[in-house]
Amino acid sequence: MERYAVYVPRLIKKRENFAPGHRACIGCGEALAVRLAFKALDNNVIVANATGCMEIVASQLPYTSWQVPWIHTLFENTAAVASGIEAAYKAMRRKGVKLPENTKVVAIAGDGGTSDIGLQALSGALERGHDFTYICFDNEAYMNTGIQRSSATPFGAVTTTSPAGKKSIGQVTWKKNMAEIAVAHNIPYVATATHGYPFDLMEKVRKAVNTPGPAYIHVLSVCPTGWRSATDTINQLSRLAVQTGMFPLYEVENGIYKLSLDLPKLRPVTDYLKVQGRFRHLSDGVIAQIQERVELEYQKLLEKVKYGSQRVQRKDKTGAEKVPTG
Amino acid sequence: MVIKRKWIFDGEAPWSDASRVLLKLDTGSWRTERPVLDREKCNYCGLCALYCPPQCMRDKGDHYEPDLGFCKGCGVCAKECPRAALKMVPEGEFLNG
Repeated sequence: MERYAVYVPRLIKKRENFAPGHRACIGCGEALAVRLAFKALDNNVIVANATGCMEIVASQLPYTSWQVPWIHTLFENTAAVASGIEAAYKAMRRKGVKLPENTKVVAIAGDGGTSDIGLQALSGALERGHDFTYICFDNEAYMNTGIQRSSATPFGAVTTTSPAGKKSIGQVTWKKNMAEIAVAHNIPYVATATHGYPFDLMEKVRKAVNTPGPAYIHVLSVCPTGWRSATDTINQLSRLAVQTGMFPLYEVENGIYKLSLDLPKLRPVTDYLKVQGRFRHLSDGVIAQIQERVELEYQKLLEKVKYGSQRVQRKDKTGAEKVPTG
Repeated sequence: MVIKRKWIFDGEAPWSDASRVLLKLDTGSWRTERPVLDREKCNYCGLCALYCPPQCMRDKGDHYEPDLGFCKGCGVCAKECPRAALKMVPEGEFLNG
């Protein structure tokens, strides 16, 4: 069962590595995403967790939700701690210390810990080529401290530090494309996922962890508290983000792009924007601006996917060139 | 109705018992609505258990039941159920047992 992809909800593993009873908000999409991601792995993992919602809700002193070895790190050094764990594990194995084989190192962080504060440590760890997986759970602001803007906040969104008013439309910059920054490091595996497509998310996590060398996964996780939406719409919202093209799902293996979900036609972005309180104030002009930008970005992605599939076909024909790994 | 879970620390301080499994947080007391299952409509597909943010759906062999000690009442299971077998009922209707 472990070797094949499972697409029946009842057949996936029952055991949880992230136990219930944590203090996540009602309807927390990030808790769901963490739970699904760690369902795809077995117990033989070490987790380095940056400061953020998941550290606060799951590890209040006498309690913990984590059923796997877990270490709390600061915002700025998650990737550094993970690469240290990986290097120490390798060195101790080499010196003959009795440790379990094939232990995986997973670093998890929020969007603030990834794209704002922890970017230099992440960039360094990706460049040094440590064998670890970095999962960014992106809820598009600093939700834990009370919804402050981060560089992953989308254009036009209201946060407490980018309020909307007569002269302001909320966040004035576009969302930083972290997945593309990770691709630019030429690492073996980069993917984007969201908890609205749980099997896709689990398959990507499994693939990333089993890839030798660094892997990066960007997971969009809906935060009903910060996005000002109803608690039961988290999965609909994450699916709408994919179907409108705001957050396309793709994976990049050794530089070759592949779309995970082939959409014949994008839905208009208003479907996604009008159900969230943080975009309620947007005028038609700003929505048209967002639509234009989303289509442009999606076309750029389609071009890259087209180029990647051509490269794969050329390789199949000649059969000579092999993709280097590691 | 609040489901009470009691625990008593044996040691001199809470952290000396932290390895015990019985330490749990009563997140079920946050709930304002609870999911109620219609057994006739349920076909045991497992989507509610897959999408539940804290995994509190318990597998009962032919259906899933929410663990009310942990269920926070977000309503994701009721929204995701393709056959509408789960319904959110306000907690006030359960006050008298």
